[in-house]
Amino acid sequence: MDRSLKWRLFALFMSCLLCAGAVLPTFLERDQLPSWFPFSKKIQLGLDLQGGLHIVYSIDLDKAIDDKASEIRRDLESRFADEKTAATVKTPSSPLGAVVVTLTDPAKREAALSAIQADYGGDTVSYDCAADQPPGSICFRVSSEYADGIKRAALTNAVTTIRERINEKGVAEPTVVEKGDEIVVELPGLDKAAIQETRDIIARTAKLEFKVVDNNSEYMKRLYAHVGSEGKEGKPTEPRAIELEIQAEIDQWRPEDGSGLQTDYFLLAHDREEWLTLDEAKANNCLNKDNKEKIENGKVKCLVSGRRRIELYLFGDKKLNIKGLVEIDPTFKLPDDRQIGYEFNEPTPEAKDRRNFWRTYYLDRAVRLTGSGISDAMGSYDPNTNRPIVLLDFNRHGSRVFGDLTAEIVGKKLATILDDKVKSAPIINGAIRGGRASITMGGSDASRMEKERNELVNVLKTGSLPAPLHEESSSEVGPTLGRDAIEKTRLSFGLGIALVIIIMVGIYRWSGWISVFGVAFHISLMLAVMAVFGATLTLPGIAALVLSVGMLVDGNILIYERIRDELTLGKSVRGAIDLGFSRAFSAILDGQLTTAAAGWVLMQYGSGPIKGFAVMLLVGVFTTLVTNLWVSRIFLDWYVSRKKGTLATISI
Amino acid sequence: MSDHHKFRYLLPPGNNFAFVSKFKAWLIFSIIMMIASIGMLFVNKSMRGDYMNWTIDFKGGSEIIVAFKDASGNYAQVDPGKVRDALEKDEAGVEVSDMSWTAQDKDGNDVPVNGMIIRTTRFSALSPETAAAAIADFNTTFKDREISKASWSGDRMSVRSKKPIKPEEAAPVFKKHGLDLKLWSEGEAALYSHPDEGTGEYNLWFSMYGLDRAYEQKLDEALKPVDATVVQSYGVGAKAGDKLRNDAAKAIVYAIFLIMLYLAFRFDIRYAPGAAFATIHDAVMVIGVFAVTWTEVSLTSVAGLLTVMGFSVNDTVIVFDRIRENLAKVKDKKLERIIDISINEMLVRTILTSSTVFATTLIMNIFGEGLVRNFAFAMNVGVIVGVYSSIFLAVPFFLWISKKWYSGPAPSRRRLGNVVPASAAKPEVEASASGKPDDEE
Repeated sequence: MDRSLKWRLFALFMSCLLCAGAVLPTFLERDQLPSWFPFSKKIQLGLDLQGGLHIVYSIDLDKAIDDKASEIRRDLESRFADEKTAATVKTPSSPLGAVVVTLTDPAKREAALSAIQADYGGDTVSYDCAADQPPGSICFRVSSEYADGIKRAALTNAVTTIRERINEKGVAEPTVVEKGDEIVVELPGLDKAAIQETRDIIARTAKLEFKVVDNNSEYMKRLYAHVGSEGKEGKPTEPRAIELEIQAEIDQWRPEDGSGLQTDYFLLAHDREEWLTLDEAKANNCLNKDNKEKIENGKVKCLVSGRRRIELYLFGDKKLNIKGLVEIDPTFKLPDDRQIGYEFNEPTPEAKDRRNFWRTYYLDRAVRLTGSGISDAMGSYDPNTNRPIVLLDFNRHGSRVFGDLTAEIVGKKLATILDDKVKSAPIINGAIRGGRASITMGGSDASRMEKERNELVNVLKTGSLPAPLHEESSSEVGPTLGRDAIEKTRLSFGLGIALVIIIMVGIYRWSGWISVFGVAFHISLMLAVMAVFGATLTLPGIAALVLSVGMLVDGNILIYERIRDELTLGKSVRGAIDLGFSRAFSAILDGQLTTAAAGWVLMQYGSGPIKGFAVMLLVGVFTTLVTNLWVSRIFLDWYVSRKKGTLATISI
Repeated sequence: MSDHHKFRYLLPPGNNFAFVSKFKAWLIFSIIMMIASIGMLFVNKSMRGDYMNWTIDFKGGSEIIVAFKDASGNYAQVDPGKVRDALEKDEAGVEVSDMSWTAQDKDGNDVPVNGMIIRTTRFSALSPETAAAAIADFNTTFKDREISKASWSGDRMSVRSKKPIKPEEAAPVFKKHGLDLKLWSEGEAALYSHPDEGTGEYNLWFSMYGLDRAYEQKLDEALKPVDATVVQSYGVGAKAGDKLRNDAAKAIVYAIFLIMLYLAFRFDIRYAPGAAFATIHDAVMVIGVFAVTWTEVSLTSVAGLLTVMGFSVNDTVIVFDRIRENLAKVKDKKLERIIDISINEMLVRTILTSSTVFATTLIMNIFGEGLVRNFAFAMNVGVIVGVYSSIFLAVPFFLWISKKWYSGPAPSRRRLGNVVPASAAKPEVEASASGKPDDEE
């Protein structure tokens, strides 16, 4: 046996070990493997082979109709402003999709009515105003037919968005279908952590808004004084604030353009653990399976967020019969065009208090720019702090609005609000006209920030959901193929492989066994590659596997036929093997490269099952080439080298 | 020649069939078959209502969730195969799979339920005629209620009217058409008792006992003494949306172009159209067979189609490879003769490979179930047409292009493998003789 053959046999043996090692985690539980074991990823099985989780989402379609009414309101308001007509436009919560216009000058009613008729007549119907509306109001609502259309569009839009989000996440071949007014999502596999991550992404509304922070406001100044900060270490003086552990803080800065001092008053509260009664716990969304057993004296331990306590302090809770400041002292009633925004913070490394906290922003209610102004989002790092950030590219409309907006509010803060939470509120030092903005991730754990960043990029890229989703139910589903069908398929696979063995060994005798070993090696190499990448195996993937096994056997037949030809022509055994491989080489290579070209295109442009097929096919091209040109050769060489002297013939 | 090698031959060596002389007939035959395949789609459209037998993946349908109880009233688990057999008597292509959830038993304890989810393309048990007749009758009977809209959605009828309609009033109308109305639950009755605030119209739903009951009866009969209960039944949209379909079509077209490009680069431009044509032919033929046999087309069938195309391309390339090699090696024969020799040389390999793949997928077809069977069927058809098209379509195409635009055997290019320098050979007019090509070594 020559040296090179020894080395090749050794390398083959090592590759077999590696394959076995890579595939092992798929068949064993994690704790059955020693901790030093280098491989941990498993081959996931798709919905069709293993089943997964079946989740039903309901979608708040009324919200979509509400949004339409709000859109009409904004339209009308700007029109009345342009015409200098004094009017108020309201969108009462009932009936659904209603808009009520009240004109200060009754003489203009007819003109307004006909204008509304002309613009919205097709999509709306008028109705008799309720008694509590001012006399002379114009009441109309989104028509039932149009509402049906909006609902339809919102549902389709939501399905598409969810599909894109899951694909972006890289979950292989999920199912997303409409079911009446609901959406059914099926996620393959039952790995709890992975499924939870995907669920988080699916249900995120991802509503992005930009609003201006109203600093120097009289309201916040009074609130600051009311809560008080004269206690020890700036602690509040007002009893309710002390009880709820709410602080009043102040933030001051001088804008770079040299204009006057800006002051931002705000409230701040840390998250804290409290013993709550069951009703309170329910209102806090903290009553769940985990702490149901830990009820003591009718109370449960809950983490109450700072936001929740500030909300309690200001607005109370009707269900729990707690009055907020706005009711106790009507002078603190929030103006109609203002709102309170909340920002979540983690403590800075220097802070003594290690708890997370929330702070408020006093916001102008008007939405200045939404996520529809974004053309793309990508993950990056802040060059100065090295924190993960999301870069937002504005489209033309967004870029113009953002430029004008920042020019208008130089020296003030602009709040970026995502799903009802202020993400950041930087001070604007000058007009930003580059068409780009960024959101910086907060927190101290780098890997978590990065994960959150990637999630955010995903949801911003795929756009916001038209309306919030609620998870209605979830159940486990078995393989789509059916349990019985999988049993039968296994049987047919076994029979098929037996048949290949019979044919190959029957015709090529000893060399046939080399092919059989080749097929086994090829399949385990394919599985190993899949396991290393943690890929998902589905029925289309198995189809690709069958195809590549077919091509592998084809390659073997090509080589053997060539060797036979050479032997018939009177070549020596060694010479025939050399020539056989080199002659068959171009056919095998070209066949596989054409397949690879096709597979690559299918992977680039295909989606769902087509992508699953293509990935497996590409893996198969690689393993077919390795097995045919390297493994088979090693065995034939080995076979020849075992026999001393010159061989007259071989079993082929 | 040495004869001491005792090979087990599939065919006695020295086979020499004439392929080229029959090319024209095969080409015409193939084109007729392709036209027939495409034509079959339109025949289906007019006769059976759709181009192909799309499954729920493509056109949506109903999902019905069923729970099973044994004679003593406890939840039971049954074999999905039995359920499938019971339902497939009347309609092919029903998908049945396990589904488990928790429910409360008589004592209020949480118990796991091992039920089934059944997927079918049917939206309702109603025939279109019954549905239309029922609506017409409904509209005339309740004219005085000022109905503004009445339409079916599966087994449910949506009604919008100015004045209320009670289910007790409606039931006899539906009864006339053989439909059995489900009475409203308390919640529904409360919901439907007052009009919509804005429009002042009533939005009502009337549900019939339809698919769910039909399935329940079938299952009860087949699974005795186990009792089947439909827990939920609802319509679902298509799994494969427009995006998937468009992506797939685009991907396949691009893939064929890239294959042509590769062949033009590695072989010669003359080889490319033949390979593309053969691949398209195979896809069309498989679609044609699916259309004629009215076999269900699911996402798995698409995977099957891709596999067939992959197999076909591979087969064609390998036959081309031998022609390319022999063109470089044999310089004094006509192109037709070289092609005949090449195909004959490859014949053993072609038969062996294709019969191995065919036999394997045939076993999957016979012993498999549901979707696997569907895939195997596509492969069975595909292997036959794939081998056929390589020899009888791709090669004639190549020959035709060579004859038309090149005079005689043109230079062949080889960049890898055993390098034989390209040499321009003079075309020679020579009556083809016999035998294998003379080896130059």
